[in-house]
Amino acid sequence: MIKKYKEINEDIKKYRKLRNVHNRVSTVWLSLKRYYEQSGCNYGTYESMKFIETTYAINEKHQIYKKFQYHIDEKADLLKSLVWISEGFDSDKVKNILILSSHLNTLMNGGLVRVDPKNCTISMEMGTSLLVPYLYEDEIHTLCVKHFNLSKDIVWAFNRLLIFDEDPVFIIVDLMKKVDKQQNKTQKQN
Amino acid sequence: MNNKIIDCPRCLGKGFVNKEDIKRLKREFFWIEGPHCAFCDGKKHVKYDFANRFNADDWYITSDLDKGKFQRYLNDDEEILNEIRHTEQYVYYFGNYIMEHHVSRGLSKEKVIASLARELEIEIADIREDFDGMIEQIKTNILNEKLSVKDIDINNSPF
Repeated sequence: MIKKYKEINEDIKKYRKLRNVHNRVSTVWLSLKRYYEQSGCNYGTYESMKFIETTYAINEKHQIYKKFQYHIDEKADLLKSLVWISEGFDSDKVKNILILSSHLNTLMNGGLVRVDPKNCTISMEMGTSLLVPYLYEDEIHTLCVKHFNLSKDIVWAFNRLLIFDEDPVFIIVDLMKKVDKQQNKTQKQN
Repeated sequence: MNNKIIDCPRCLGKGFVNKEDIKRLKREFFWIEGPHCAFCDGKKHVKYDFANRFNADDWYITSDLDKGKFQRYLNDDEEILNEIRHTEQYVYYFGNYIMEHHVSRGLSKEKVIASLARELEIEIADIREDFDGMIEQIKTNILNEKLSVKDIDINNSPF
């Protein structure tokens, strides 16, 4: 009887711990730092703001780099990953940028493109509830890889607009073709 | 003297230089593809001695090169050699600056040219032509193919 009571008590404790967002924050933050420590990448840690910043090459020849940030958002109860696509675009292109980003946001599953017309910046973020990496540490890796792979497509699309001055409608059509091709390739590999 | 004739190491015996040759020789900031290989003069073969003396990736040997200057280069003119060294460094700096700020950081052309002019302490108008030319070269030699669907490696991940 006492044993059963203790078990129930333990379960209640665990449940309370899970409900408390603050517990998740510190645990997931530690897991995130551990993950980067083990990855061997060059990165910077912002302890008080609880975010990690790094750069990754997004093309095979390591010529194009993008800044990635991983952040624990206690208010939103999310582990967020963010990539900076543009840190200062041409303000004349804002209309086309907004058109492209809204198309992308409709098409994307999980990711969100944010355009700041005031500061002329574009970023793409993805988030997962802190509960998920709190319970399963490997989910940090899953989020990072998912976000990285998605960011390659988004950067590809915005490069065509920002560098090649192409029309957003054509970019979206080509992007959909590209995604279909990728999916076919993955299905064949499986 | 070795009079042996070999396949042109720059164009690999095609007589012209294409994007693959430019990539192989890492001259994306210097050349664009063309119908005539300057290293073999479009003949597809070069003398062994010439290939032994000059590297296939020698950026200075191009089709639009002034003949007088080329002769001075062949004669190891110190002034020309210094000019070439200086220009090579300038082109690398220029290209890498555009790659870092315009392509990677996504800053607008005008912002990049303004900061580059500030750094080099020259007028924007003085570098405008070089700047636009370099962007076109980067678009053709580096970005265009990387942006094509067939080259996307979906399994490429840094993790």
